[in-house]
Amino acid sequence: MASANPRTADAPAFELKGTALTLMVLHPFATDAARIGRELEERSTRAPDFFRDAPLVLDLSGMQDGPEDLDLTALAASVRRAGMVPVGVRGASPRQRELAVAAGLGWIANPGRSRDGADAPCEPEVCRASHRPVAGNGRGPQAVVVTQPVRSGQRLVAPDGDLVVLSSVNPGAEVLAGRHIHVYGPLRGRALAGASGDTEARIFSAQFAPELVAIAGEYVVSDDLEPECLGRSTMVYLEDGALRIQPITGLVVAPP
Amino acid sequence: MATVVVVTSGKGGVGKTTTSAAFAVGLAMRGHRTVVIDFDVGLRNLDLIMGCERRVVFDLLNVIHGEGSLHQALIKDKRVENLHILPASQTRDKEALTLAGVGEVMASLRERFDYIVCDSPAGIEKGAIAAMYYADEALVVTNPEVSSVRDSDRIIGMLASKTRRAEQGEPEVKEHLVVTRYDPTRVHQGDMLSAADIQEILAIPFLGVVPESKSVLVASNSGIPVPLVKDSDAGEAYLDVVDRFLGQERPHRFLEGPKKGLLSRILGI
Repeated sequence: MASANPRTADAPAFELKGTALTLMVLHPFATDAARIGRELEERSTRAPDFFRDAPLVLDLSGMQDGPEDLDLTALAASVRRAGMVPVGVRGASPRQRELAVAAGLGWIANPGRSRDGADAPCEPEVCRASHRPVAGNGRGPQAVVVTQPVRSGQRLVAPDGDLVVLSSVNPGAEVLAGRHIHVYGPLRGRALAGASGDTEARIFSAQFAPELVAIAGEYVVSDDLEPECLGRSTMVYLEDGALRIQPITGLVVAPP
Repeated sequence: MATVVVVTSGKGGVGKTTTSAAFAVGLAMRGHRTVVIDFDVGLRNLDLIMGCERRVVFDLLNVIHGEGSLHQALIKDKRVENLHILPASQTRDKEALTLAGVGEVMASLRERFDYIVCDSPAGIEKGAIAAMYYADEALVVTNPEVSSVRDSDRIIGMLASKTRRAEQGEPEVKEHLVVTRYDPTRVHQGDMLSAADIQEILAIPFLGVVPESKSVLVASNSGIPVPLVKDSDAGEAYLDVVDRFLGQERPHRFLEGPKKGLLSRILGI
């Protein structure tokens, strides 16, 4: 517990510590703050939870033409409108420091380059925290295993490898995988395998009753499925660019 | 240490407020200090269902904004010992509800009550999230009807992700399924989903069914919570739900309809 009792008059009211934080950095290419704001808002609507309230640093070091022409106050306002929090500026001139301070932004003096001299591109964490990645051998994509039902309105993505669901995918839920999707329970929602274009990806389902299935962008909705293939253990794959739906025999799933 | 129980559903009109009132009354009747809170800002109903609408002075938003104390806002039920009601504001906007404010009210209530029942509004927006945020347990109220089941599934997903317990990595909110407006005859006819069907889809622990009952309308209009209405099947079902929630065994007596007498069967009525 804390050593100093904050109620004692002489005890310090706080402590200052240094730390290293991972932050998102925006590298503008243009001086048009409004345009940057529009594109930022558009990008943030695609993954709102990732961007909302995130602190953002503006890095002006890469700007070729007139970084001093960039209206930092307007850009900071654009960032806030897109739902993020502009916290500071780095990689710019002393003149821009004045502009940054006027815009209410902090000044990061030491740019602190990462090892290879560039910041890595930022992609939202798309998998839910409740998944348990299967320990692989270090080579190849990881599979993601999910043990709880995927509820209506939830969206589960395994961008690189297989996705295995050991429970149900409920109506109104969506599961996506870079490779195969295996649902060892009722598939009643949407399943999109080969989401990055892998035409070899397949969908396996113990109880097939989806709203929509797709492989590498080729899709079929529930209405267009043959009634005979519903309710059974089924495999979906692409053959010559067309979706094939095939029963799997011998797969018996015991009721819970 | 108090237990916060949210009564939620996603879908509107399935019986959340009826259930919140009945559940709170049941807990109080079993001897637990209970408060029931209306989170439906702007469309408050709990005060009507509890029959205390003529005694509302201060409400939850007044307390959150420091315009009245909790003591002034809490209404003591006149019929049942151990029971208090905290009404919602009717005039304010739900934007005035803040999670931090709700948290402070919860902290104060935890000191004085054993059970805090939160009557959630319908939907998945701010009001519903505020009602579920501090929950330890949840009653998911579902009608035996496909859209209600779909919406309940959605809300169960949110209980697992949008609550304080989920955000802090604490043990999850314990969910319980309560199926209301159940009609065994229509289930047999195939018009209505059975309790077993609903359990299979929602996959959460089953607390019981409450039968479709004429006494519910009468109770609402009179401001009497259902368990206090004499000879009400719904009232008895709610008391069974409370007892099961408190850990006791109770046979599920409302899954089948009343047995028809011989004469009724001969006459085909």
